[in-house]
Amino acid sequence: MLDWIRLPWGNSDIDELDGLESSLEAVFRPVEPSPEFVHDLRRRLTNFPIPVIPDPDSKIPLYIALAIASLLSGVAIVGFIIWIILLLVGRLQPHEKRVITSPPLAS
Amino acid sequence: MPEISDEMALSLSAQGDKQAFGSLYERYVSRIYSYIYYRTGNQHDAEDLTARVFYRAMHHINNYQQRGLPFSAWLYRIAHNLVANWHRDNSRRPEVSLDECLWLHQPGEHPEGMLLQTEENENLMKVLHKLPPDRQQLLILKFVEHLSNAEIGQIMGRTEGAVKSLYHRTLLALRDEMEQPKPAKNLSS
Repeated sequence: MLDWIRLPWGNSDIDELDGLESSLEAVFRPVEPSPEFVHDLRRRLTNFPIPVIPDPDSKIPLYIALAIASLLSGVAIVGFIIWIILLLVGRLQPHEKRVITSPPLAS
Repeated sequence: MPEISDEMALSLSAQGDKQAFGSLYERYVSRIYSYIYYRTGNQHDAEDLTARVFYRAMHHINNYQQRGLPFSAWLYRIAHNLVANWHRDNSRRPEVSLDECLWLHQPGEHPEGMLLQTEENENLMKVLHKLPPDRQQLLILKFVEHLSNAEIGQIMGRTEGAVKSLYHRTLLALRDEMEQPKPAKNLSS
């Protein structure tokens, strides 16, 4: 199985790994689930409504929270800018109204 | 239900045909269970996680797109991720419990030989469970499912050459670990 590998330290290591592979072959044998389990799970999968499995790793709630926070932040920033603009406009308006009129020239 | 191809069963399942999904389930439940069993080491957790694999597959059947990746590869990826989460959640366990029925013996074996074989197998399994998850996955897929390097590469998202290389490094790591001197057993008098 390992003939394609050319090891610089000779064939003894290939034999050793071959032995290890044999051990792995002996250890790893297919394990069948119990028929009761297989039948019961099939019944649950095909007969009952699809259950909702809570996914503790799901990041969707985090994304939703970030989106809402971003939206609120944006609204707050825009509102703040508008308020600043209105404030500046309010300060300018009195200056515009204060038109210095020259006194009428005496005839 | 008459025998239908995976592609047909998937198409029907995506349309809500639960019986079609049931046929897919029956084709792959043993393989997925076997894989998870060797990753967890006990029947109870293997059954629990196997059920979660197929529930998740059923929920996300519409997300599965046939891009040259076999349905079985998709199931193995789900199983691998769930097992990884399971290990993370059970990280406080010092060792994975190993069911004794893992050691299947031929009838007529000499009892002493069986005992030695059992001990060797148990040691090998303990060493295996110390390997990184991807290496465990590789060994199980190769020796339990007898998949080719190309098929394993599809499941693991690697090239065939990368799988070969990983396999060789894994064997070397296993050999080195097996050659480590074991601490003497505490024999009570």
